Amino acid sequence: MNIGSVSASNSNVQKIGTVAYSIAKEAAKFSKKFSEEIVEKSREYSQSTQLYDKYHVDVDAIKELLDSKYEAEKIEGLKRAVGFIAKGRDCSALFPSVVKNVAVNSLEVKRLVYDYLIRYASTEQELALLAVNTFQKELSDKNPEVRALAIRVMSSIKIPAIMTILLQGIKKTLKDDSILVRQAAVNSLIKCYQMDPENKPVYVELVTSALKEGSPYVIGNVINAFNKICPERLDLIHPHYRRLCFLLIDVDGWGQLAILDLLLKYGKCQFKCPYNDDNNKKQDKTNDNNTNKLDSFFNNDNDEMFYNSEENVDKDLRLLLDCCKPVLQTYNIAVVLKIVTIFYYLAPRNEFKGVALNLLRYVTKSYEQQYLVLQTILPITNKMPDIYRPHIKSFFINKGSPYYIKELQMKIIVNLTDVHNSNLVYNEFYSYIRNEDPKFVILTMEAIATLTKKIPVLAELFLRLLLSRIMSKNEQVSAECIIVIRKLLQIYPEDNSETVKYLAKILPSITVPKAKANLLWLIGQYCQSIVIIVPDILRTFAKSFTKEDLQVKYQILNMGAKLVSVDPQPHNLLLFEYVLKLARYDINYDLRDKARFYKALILDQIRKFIPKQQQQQEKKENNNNTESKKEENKKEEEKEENEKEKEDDKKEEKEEKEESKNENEDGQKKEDKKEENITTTEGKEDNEDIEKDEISLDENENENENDNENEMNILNSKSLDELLVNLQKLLIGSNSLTQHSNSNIEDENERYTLGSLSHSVNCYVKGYEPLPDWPETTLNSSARQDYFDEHTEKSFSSNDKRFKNFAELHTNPSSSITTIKTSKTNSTANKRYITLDDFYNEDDDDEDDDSEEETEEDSEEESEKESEEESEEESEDDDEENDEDDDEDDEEEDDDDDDDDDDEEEDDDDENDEEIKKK
Amino acid sequence: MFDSLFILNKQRRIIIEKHWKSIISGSILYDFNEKADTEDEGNIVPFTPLLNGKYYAAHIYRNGVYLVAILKNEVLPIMVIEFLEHIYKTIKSYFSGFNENVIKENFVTIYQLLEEMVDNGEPSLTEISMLKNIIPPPTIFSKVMNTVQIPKNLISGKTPLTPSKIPWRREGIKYNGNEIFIDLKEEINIIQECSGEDVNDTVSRGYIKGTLLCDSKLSGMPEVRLTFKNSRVLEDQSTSFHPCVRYAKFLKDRVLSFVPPDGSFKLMEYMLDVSSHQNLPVYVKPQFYIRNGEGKLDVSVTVKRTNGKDVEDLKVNIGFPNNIQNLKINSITGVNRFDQDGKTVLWNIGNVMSNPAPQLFQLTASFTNPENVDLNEYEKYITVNFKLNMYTFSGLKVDSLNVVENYSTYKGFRSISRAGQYILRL
Repeated sequence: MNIGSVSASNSNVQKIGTVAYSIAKEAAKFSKKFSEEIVEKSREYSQSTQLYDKYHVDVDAIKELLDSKYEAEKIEGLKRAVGFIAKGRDCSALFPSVVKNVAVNSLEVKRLVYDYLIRYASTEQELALLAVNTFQKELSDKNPEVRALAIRVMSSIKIPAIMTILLQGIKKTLKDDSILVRQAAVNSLIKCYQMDPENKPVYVELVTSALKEGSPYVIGNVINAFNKICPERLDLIHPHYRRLCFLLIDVDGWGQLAILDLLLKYGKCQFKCPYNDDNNKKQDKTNDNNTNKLDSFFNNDNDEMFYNSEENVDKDLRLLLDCCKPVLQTYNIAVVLKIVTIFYYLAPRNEFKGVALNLLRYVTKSYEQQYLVLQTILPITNKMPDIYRPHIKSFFINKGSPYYIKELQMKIIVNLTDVHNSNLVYNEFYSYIRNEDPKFVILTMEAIATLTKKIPVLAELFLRLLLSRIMSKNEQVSAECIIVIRKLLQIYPEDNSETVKYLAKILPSITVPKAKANLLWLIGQYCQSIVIIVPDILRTFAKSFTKEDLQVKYQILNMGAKLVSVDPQPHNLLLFEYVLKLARYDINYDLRDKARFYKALILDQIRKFIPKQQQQQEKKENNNNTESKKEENKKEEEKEENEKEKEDDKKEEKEEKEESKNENEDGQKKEDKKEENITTTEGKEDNEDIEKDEISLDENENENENDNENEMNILNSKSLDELLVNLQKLLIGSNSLTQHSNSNIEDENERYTLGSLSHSVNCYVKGYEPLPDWPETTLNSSARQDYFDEHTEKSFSSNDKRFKNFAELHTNPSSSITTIKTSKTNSTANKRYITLDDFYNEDDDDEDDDSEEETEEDSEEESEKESEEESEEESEDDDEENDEDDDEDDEEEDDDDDDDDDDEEEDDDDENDEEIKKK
Repeated sequence: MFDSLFILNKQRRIIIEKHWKSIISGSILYDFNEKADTEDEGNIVPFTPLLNGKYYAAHIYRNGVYLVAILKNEVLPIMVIEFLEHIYKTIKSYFSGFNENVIKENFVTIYQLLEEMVDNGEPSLTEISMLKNIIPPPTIFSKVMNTVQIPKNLISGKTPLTPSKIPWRREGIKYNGNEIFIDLKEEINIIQECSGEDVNDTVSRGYIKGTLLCDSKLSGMPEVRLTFKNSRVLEDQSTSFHPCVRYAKFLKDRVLSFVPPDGSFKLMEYMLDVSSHQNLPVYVKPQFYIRNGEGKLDVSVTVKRTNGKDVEDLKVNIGFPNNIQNLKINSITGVNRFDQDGKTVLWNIGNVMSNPAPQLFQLTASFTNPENVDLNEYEKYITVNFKLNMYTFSGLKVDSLNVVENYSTYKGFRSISRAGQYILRL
């Protein structure tokens, strides 16, 4: 027994041993093969980047792969072919081999073949026809994916010869059960239309029938097709308008965009304007005027407008707005932005605010998205700064952002700043202005300039800030700084002599021409209060006159003229004359003209009244000058400079002597007189709006356009004093800034529809269409059909509905309208605070009243909702509601209170049961 | 929507081109290149006119790769950008990374993806979970299986899934173990002003960015319900959801009810304003003295009570103006390192235990100011970084998570809070 068993077990062992051995052998073989393959594959894997780097299109090798009977090799070959397409290389030579594979059953191969076909079919039309048969067959494949793919490719290959077959295919697939196929079919419609636009009526008809689409996942594509094919046929939309509004929430992001685009246009040209434009303008004005803010808040007019605007909203427009609101919760920034524009154009202003604030959560997204969001916010802040004012911090600039973001944010900050938050903004600017990026600092300075123009009270505060930055190492920064300071000083003309003196001190260290020009203008403008230092400045600049930039030369002339008119002492006159002479031989004709003009108008006139004795002295000077003039004429310009400089030195000496003489004698008397004159004439000066200097700074070309009257005054003046007064009037003039009206800027922003590409790039883009104007009254209200009249069970199976937001929103349109109506009549105060929640709740109430016609499924959904509501807000409960609830619902309610989990499971079970029943 | 799409590398050479309406040569990008040459990489305005406004190029720049769409007609610009962003996200999720190499390695797959995502220039099939069914993302495993020539569905045991009534989830998904994970991530961004006229310690501005990530591996068509503790922090205007969430229900009851897509996805996103007295777990107070060519900076960091959660990776970065010299730093705890070129000090405190609270750390830096410039004129800043597990700044918590199906589900939840941009301006 024992032995036998042992031997038996022995033999068993042997058997097992041999089996084990063979298994091990097999395993070893397999593992060897496997590991080899892994190695090979990994080599291939590492080569896959090299596949990209392959330059040469190896047609033969690929062909061989394509003709292989193994799927994997085919895929490999196709991938290479597609790869070359992706790289933008030509591989049309492969066409015949690829087309052969169109009938392969594998979806993976199919997709690759189609990718290839789409690219090359239009060039190889004859060969491509071989594939059409396969497509046609696939259109009745039982896999919806295959059908969808077939119709998509058929329409993408763009062969006019198969147009009729294609149209038939589309007609067939438009009625397909699968949403995938219908989506593809609708998309194909667009492609066909673009291929042959002559047959438009056919496509319009197809679109019209497709508009009856019930699935929210296809309707987006349908509307997109509508927008592409017949956007002008808004009449086709009437019967579907309400349904579109209801379906909106369940459509995917891209579809929502298409629908919203359409509804915006539709709303704008079908409904009566919900707000009164005149009132609006009034409101804007009061908003701008900050001192009146409190008044305007309590102003009765405003409240009236409030109610008026509410009355004006058409019930269907109301529906659109209310259906848009929950969609704001989507991820898709594009949708949110589009809804904001819809509210911007269509909604009463009081409702716009809450919607507009939704944009704030995208202010921290990627820069490209931010850019567009900010571009939309900017015009809103122009028109209605109050909306975003409490959130001004959200627009404060991050130093890491790209410049185009900073620019927009800065504009928005400027728009939002008012007296109350100026401190906040000042602190923020304080840190910006110390930033290391010169571009950003300049941007900040520009912003300061516009800001102080808006709120002049801030000028002094910012002036101090700017003065601290004037010695910046960066030339552009310091230049910009001076320019802005000039602007600020213009706003605050009183008592700035200290500032100007300080600026005059640093003048020699400034090298940027624009800054120099600005500073010289500023000194000239204030030369009455700093008359002691101006001649010296003029002297230094006369020395370097020829080397200066053109705009600086202009300003030297300007300053000289001003100095002379303020303080016509002989040495000043001489200096000015010298500068004029230099200018007369300048290369720029306009400068020469100007020099002559100044000479005739100012110098010669003043000379009339200057005592002869001085003139004699001047004659000597003149002789010197005329001599030099002759020399100069002979020599080239570059050499002239040296000469002049020598002269300068001579002159300077003389001047200094003269200065000492004259200052004691005439100087002070005259100065006193002048100052009196100035004070008396200042009133007149202000009245006479001479913007000459302002213009001269910006556009030198306009220099010579003078106020004739003033010139005449100057020429006719009978005494030196009178002359000087007149000259001052002309030159220094009034200090008021030329105010650029803000309306222009607003108009520019409003030129294109918000959120359009044209608006974004600020110029007309092909295909842009402005929004239509509001009609006088609401149109076609009877044409808009109620959704549920044509609502069919087929398009909306109960199972479908389970996943939908729509189920939550589920309302009978007529009932929703009545709620609005009743709430309107009930009490105005109530209406004013209608929130979204209330709105839906009320809908629910009403819906229950008419719930008989709805399916059980619906009522179940509703009741579930209700029960939750009830647990939350019991006050909302009505007796009626409870009466009308089904028994089943009551049960559920009880459960619901006890345990949530159970309830849900039960829900689910119930649903399943019902489905089974239906089946 | 758009006519063509170019994917360019950092040097703006074309990696992939895809045309929908007509073939446009890559030379059209001349104007774009021209503009890009004069600007820094990230500084190019997203829309560039080409050929005097005949075309427009819309682009986004991510990780050294440009995605450039060519536009011919009027479109919604935000839609284009959003779609480019979507392409970026799709590629990133497919190949778990986005850079030039990834794109070159997978350029055929990307081309196929573009073909599926865009039909005739219009968005077509964009749901990532759906795309993954049609064009499977490459894995080493699938590559190996390819070589052995075993059909894929045989190996993975997956039967081909049929499209369902909802676009983001197919029917017939099956898992042996059903599980769902919820990740709540919060990032706080703060800029605090410690200079200027009125110095106050409160937060001058800031926001909390929160995302709720979900990874679902559930069979069938489950319905998931998620409730929050402290849900009142979520305002309507500040939250956005994945399309699968029923917004209307959330607006009403603050319950997230959804049928999740398969795999991981971003369920919810919210942004909250930081109130001026936000309770921060870490509090930094700098003090700055300058006197006649010498200066001193004291930084004290206080870690406050954090409900027993440890503060991890606490780092303080101090940026000094360029013209200081002889910087000496002294800190008792942590490691500090001075970068001479950038004039920055990195002070790494490391992990801080929750007990005992509060804890105080200090760093003193003294330096000279040889040129005796007014240091107030220069920018100085301190940035702070830290991380907390199972903690949220807003106080938002997941209260309950129910999966309405007949099977039992493993549910996991965690939350991480980080400091994103926590900047103190001195």
